[in-house]
Amino acid sequence: MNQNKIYDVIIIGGGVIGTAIARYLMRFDVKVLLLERHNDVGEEASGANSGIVHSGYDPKPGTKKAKFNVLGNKMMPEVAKELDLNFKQIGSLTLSFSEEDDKTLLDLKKRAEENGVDVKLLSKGEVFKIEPNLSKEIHGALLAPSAGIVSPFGLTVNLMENAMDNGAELLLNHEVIEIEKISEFCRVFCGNGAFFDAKTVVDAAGALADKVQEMIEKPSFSITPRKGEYFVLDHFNNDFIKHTIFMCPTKVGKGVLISQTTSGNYLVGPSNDSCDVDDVSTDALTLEDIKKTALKICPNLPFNETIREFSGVRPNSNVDDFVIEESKNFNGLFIVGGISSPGLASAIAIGDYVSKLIRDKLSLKDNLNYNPNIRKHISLSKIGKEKYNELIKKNPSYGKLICRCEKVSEGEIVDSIHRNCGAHTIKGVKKRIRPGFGKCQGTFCEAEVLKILARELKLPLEEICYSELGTNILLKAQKGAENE
Amino acid sequence: MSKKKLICIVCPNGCEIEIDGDKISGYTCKRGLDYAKSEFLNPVRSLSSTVKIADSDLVCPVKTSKPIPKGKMFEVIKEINKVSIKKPIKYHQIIIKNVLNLGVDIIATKEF
Amino acid sequence: MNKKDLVIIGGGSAGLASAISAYDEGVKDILLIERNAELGGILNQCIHPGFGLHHFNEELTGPEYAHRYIEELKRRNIEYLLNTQVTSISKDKIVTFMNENGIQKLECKAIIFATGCNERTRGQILTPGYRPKGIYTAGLAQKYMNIDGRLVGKNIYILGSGDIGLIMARRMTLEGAKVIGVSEIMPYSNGLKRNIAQCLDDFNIPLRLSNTVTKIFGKDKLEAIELSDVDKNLKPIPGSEKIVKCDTLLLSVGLYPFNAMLKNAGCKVNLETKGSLVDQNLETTIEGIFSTGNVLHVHDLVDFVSEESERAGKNAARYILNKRGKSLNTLNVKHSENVSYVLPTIIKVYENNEPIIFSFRVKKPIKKTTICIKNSAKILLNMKKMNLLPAEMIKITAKDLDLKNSDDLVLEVKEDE
Repeated sequence: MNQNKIYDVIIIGGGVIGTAIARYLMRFDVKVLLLERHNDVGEEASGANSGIVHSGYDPKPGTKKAKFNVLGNKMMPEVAKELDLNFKQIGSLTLSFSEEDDKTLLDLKKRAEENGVDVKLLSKGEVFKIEPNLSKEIHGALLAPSAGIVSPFGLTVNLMENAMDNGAELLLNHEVIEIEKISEFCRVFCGNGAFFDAKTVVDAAGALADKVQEMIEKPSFSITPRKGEYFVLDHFNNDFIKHTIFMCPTKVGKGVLISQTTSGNYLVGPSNDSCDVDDVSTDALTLEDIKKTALKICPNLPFNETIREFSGVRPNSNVDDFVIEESKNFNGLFIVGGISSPGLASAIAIGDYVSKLIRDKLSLKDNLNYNPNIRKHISLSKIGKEKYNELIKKNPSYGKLICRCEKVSEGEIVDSIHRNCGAHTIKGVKKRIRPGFGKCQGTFCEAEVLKILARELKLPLEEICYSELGTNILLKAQKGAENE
Repeated sequence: MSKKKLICIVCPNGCEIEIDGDKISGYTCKRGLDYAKSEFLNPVRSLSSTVKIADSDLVCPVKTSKPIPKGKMFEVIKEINKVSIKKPIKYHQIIIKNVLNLGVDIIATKEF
Repeated sequence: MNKKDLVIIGGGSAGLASAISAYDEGVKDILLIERNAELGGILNQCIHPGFGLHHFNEELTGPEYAHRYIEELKRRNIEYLLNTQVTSISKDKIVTFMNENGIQKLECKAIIFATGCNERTRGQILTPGYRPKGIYTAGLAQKYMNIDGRLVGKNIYILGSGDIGLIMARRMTLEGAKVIGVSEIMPYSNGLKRNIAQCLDDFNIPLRLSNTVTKIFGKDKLEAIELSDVDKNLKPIPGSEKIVKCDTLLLSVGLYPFNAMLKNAGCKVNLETKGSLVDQNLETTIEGIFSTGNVLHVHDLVDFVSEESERAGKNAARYILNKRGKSLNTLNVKHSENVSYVLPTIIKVYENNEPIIFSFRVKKPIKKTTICIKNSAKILLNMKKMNLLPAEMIKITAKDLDLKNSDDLVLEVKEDE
């Protein structure tokens, strides 16, 4: 890294917000560096949430949440194409269980109209026609057809990949610890001793966004992290629940949702408890509560198909809206914080918007070579048997299935390693293309994936990490010492 | 010799066998008695491990050709860990002859 | 489309034994499909001795046990494919598979499904806490240890007293790791007695019964676990918590058949075993599709997998060669409350019935027992057995059962004083 180079923009944080800003910035003639403290992008909230692209009926009209959510939802179909993501507009149903809920649904309908979101109230009978496995106790539901699902980690990674395809730089394991103003530019110092200069800095540090702002000035908001725990069920039946199912929001929160993921698994959660910034543990009582609530919505939800539990930390803030602003005191600092739900749905719209703020600030020209599309991922399910057979002839590794639960070939794994923002850990491969995500949770394929990683990255087996630096899976070999 | 107890593992019955000096009691069959005698007088174990295959990331499984004294297991493993062998490896090929002079060989249990 | 008389899916102990016995019964047009680069399946990583005592009357290691079968397969020139993954089976017995030569379909007269089982994982047993690196199923750690020659950690705790966990306690100790202890949630061990004695007692590794892991510590790397005693209902007892520092937690908490493909083909599932519903011929509810070994139900000893699979091979061959008579009627087999499952659950009654082999497991240890098989009219078989354990699969052979006019059968395990 050239330490004398002055970047136009340094983005702090490789979550979906940071990577979206990076991606949209690359439409302009600009030098961008993204600094991420973890060993991969999307390691915090962006990698552990519901994966829902909300329709936008819920946020209060006139707020940034409403604006960016509705916009983000509208942008998503095309962005998904460009970024080769599976975006499924399965629609959401918000259920009513009481007369009070009925009233809430009417209010929500009004809100939806104000936000410009298409919704429809359904009677009990209409709901059962489309979702026969829901509780018989429901009164009705609000259908929002534009709501969809996307892999949140996939979105984050592919945004970064596209940004890098267009020239953005990414440094992992670079935790920002200090920011200093030096005449015309900012100097950003990292915990590992490195520092970088830039004309503008974007604070997209998620649950630590207020702490990053505090490195320069008095924070304009404070993050109050909330933890959400989830169950993941196996893909046992694609028709069991077809929509994203929400409960009626109450003062306490949005309640538990049940939704398919783009891979056909079912996600059940989240809880909503205050927590420490990096507390991603799960606990038995919370999970038990989620289960109870979910069974009220869907009495036959087969929890015996559970394959995993996880939790993520939402960067809620004390401001009742997203914080998206240029610092008043500190020229060139942009704060993009408190992006809790509907953050995923809003991310691309926020990226678009913030990139334009920076363009105007720095009077950036257009990047005439900008390519919004990433190289397509190839899989059997996408291209069909005949084309896949031709591919195997050219590259036999596509004929070697490594993950039998999720049907992922060696060729796909190798491809995921050699892309921009490519996988270099077991978890990185898992989150990009799914080996280890299935019912066996990697019991069968982890050892294979580890060997492929070592071979492709030209590293000894013991240097392959599960996730963060230092999480090496294997110890050094101790056999045959005498002969070596 | 003081009193010692052990659970017989010859069959699922799991008799509790006791030895007090020369007297062995609690067994219910001859196999149980034989097991107890060998466990008290000279306990032996079959040992298996792996050896490095030269120029490969894999290891070759090996075992002792006969049970070895229980107390010698770690020493034998040390010997096994020193070795590195070249392919081809034949099934039941001797990898270490007469390991630690125990009169037992280390043999490959798989071919490569 | 290419055709085959018999396709066997899985080249482990079950697939190998099925192939050999089908061949010996007269079917020569066989293809055995294995996903790994070598035959032998999970036996290849089970390098410890203890296999073959029933089948070969001598004690072999896993690779040696596999070697004997592989030699037999090769002697018969039975065709096999390595590095090949079957991706689906259809109810009209078309097998789709993929390897480095492409995706192919095969139409076959019969299929034997012998793909083994999976280990239960952390997600399935719901252990709360962080999700750091350092938690492995015992089988995965075994693969790293015995195939790749690598340890996954230095300070090991083991949850579950299943045999793989016990075996790994010994292996890792011998290879230089410190195994701190083993916790078993049940009040009795789930492993074979021999393994408790030779894998734990030999190395002074403590076994804690009625105890389990209730919390995981360490965000990126495992740092410690919390152990708790459990009550009769297997619920953690508050106040009994104990923190144990370790860098590795191995899970040996049970196995389940990897049966998704047969389920997708339309074979009915046995909800107790999670394998397929089969009759005494090991035939599923789709004619000509057979299931055997650990994908049918989890066995305790490989010797029994071999025995069962030889029957599957023989029966598949007889089906292909039209050697099987027409069945007169069909019975269901049920079991008493203290039995966790029985196989077969369906019996086809023929003019001349071969001996029927029942396999079952009990739910809790029983000292003295009378096992009987009866219908609504009478007791057909009665036998005494001692010391039934949930960890052990019990097999009884019923000869000359008079089933012609029988209604459904019940396997009953009576506890004797």
